[in-house]
This record gives sequence, C-alpha cells and structure tokens, in this order.
Amino acid sequence: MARIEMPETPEGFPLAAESPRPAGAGSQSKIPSLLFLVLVAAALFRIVTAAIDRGTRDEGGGLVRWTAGESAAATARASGKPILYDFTAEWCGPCKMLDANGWSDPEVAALVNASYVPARVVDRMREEGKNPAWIDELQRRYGVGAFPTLVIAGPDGKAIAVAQGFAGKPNLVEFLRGPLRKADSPAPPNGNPP
Amino acid sequence: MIRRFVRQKFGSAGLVVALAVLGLVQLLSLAAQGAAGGFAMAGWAIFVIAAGSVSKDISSGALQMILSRPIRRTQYLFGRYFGVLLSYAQFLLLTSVLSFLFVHLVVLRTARGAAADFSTAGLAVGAGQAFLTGALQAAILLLFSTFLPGIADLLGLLLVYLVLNLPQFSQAPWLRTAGERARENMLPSVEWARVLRGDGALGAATGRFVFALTVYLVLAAIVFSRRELPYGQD
Repeated sequence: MARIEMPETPEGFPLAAESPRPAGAGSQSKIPSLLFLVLVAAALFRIVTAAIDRGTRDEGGGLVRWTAGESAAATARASGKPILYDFTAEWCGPCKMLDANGWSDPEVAALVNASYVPARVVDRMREEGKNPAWIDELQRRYGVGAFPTLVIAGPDGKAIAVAQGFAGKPNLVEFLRGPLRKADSPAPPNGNPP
Repeated sequence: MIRRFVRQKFGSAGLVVALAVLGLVQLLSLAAQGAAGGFAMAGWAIFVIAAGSVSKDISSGALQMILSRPIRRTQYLFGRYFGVLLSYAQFLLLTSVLSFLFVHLVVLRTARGAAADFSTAGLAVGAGQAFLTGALQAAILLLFSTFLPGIADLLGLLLVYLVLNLPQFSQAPWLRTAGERARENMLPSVEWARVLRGDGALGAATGRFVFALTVYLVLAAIVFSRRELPYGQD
C-alpha cells in the first residue's frame, strides 16, 4: 500500500487541509467594480434624459417657428405681418398645456407660421427676481399680469387682441383667426380667452 | 440576506402591529378616496420598515456574526436594501388586494357608486408610485443607517427634507433657486402616475431619480465598507 507523504512545516507539524478560505477583512470591504459601472450608467442616463428634456423644451413651442422676442418687432415691420407674443413662464401649468395642445398642433402651427411673426417672452421674475429690460417693457406695454397671455400686435406694436389663459384648441384657433379676418379693425384688448 | 431581513422584520410583533394599523388606515383611505389618492399612508410604512435597518444589526452585534461568514459587506448591505423593498412590496400588495376586495365586496354592494374611481389599473399605478417613491427614501435611510446609531437615520432623512425645503420660503431669489436645484437633484420628484402610464419615462425627472438613487446606494456601500465596526455597542 502506498504511503501518503504529508508535507510538514519546519516545526514538524503537518499542514492542515486547506479549508474554504473565509474572506478576510480586506476582501469583505472590497466594493465591487460593478457598482461603479452602474453609477456611470446612471450618470449617463441622467445626462441623456436631461438632453432629451432640453430638446423637447426648446421645441417647447411645439411646431411653431418662434422668433427672438427682442427682434420680433423689426421682423414684423420688415414682413408686414402682425406679431403674436406668447407671454409665458417656466413654472406656469396652463402654459405647458398651451405648448402641448396648442403650439404642438399642426393646424395651429401652420396658421401661426403663415400669418404671424411669433415670439415667446419667458418671464424669469420668480426664478431670478427680475426680467431683462425688454421683457419688462413689453409686459408693461401690453398690461401682462398673468400667464399665459397672448398678444397680437400690428407691425407698429399696437395691440390688436389680447387674451389670457388657455381654453382649448378651438378657442385658440378662433383667437388667431379673428384679427386676420378683420385686419383693419382692431379688436378691443382683453378679448375672449383663446 | 433578503430572506433574513424579511424574517427579522416580520418576526417583530411591534412592527407587524404597526404595519397592520397602517395597512388598515390605508385600506380605509383607499376605499374613501379611490385608487389615485389612497396611498399616502404607504409613505409611513417605508419608514417603519426601513428605519435602522443596518444600525440595529451593528448595535446588537448581529452584524459581526453575519460578517464572520465569507460574504462581502456590500452583499449584506444590498441584501438589507432589497429586503426593505421586498417587505414594502408585500405590504403594498397585501393592502391593495385587501382594499380591492373590501371595496368590491363590501363598499360597492352596500353603497353603490361610493368608490366609482376604484379601478385595478388605478390601484396598480398608485401602488407603483408609492413603491418607487419609497425606494428612494429607503436608499437615503440605508445611507444614514450605515453611520448613524439606532433610528437616527429617520431624523437624518427628516433633516434633509427640512433643509432642502426651507429655501423656498426665503426672500432671496438666488437662495430659492439654489434650494430648488438641490431639491430637484437630491429628492427628485417624478410624476410616477404619468410615467407608469408610459408618458415621459425618459424625462429629466426620471433621470434625476435614477441617478440620485444610485448615488445614495453607492455612497452607502462606500461608507459601510470603510467603517470600523464596534462590537455589541452603539
């Protein structure tokens, strides 16, 4: 019968059979690299969703091709079209409804793009405590006290129609078509809500 | 680890009684307000389930026993977290099913139309909303539980809410803006009802939520893996 040789330590004791190695403090405390990969993936997801959101918000006015608010008057004078000002604010819920159900509607957008010089004027009072001077001036001129407020003004800047709030697409279309039907007869300010 | 947590939690009579009371109140609330507005009590259940999930094991010395086995600390930690989520899901499922039965077998038969807005889909969305909101709160509690004793993690969470909500009452616009940004990123609020119906799942709010949740869990893992553990003391 073959004799099994047991390895011996220098002191002459046989080495113990190797037991399942318990994880030492070092390996127990090790943080799996997978965790950091998940963190990186979450950061990427965060960035991508923010970019998507920003893209959507930039389109904010849906399908309407907005002109910069400051230069709208000059563009209107050059084109002879009336200006459509959309006085809005980031925090304003009805403004988002107007974006989603009004400016994102192809029929509304086609009407606005064809007949008006559309300009969005975003109020920053709540976020920054003040507005740029041109926004203050426009709000004062058209007596804007709530959001959304839509103002249709002639190329000369004179108000043709003003409406507050958003009461659905049919009313909005009616509001937008009104001044076009009687371009020469200015409607009184504070007309029906769009 | 998950099973151990669930056994440990539901083995405690006080906790079971607390959850039963919360469940009963939620059941009545669901019956009264309908599926959409009846999950407010669930927020309290996550506090009851998740509070002190790690710190109690540390102070009792149970953690040292657990870590004598060849498992990583992160395995233990995430076991606790998923144990919290599983317990919470069980709570939500049980109260939802009981509420559904209660409303359809009792309320609607005795007072027809009393809970007309009580639909299965609405109930599922409400429960999902409560679960996801609870998942973030549980992650924050887990982080605090890794270094605060007892149920001080609850106080930590309360403090976070307080500190992040105070700036909105300030007169200084920059402070209000800073507070809003901090709140958006640290306690992101997502319109889960909308997202769960498939609208805006890839919105910025969802991104902020996923990132914040991951950061809390990774931070908890880092803190817990680095800390020295005391033996049988708090």
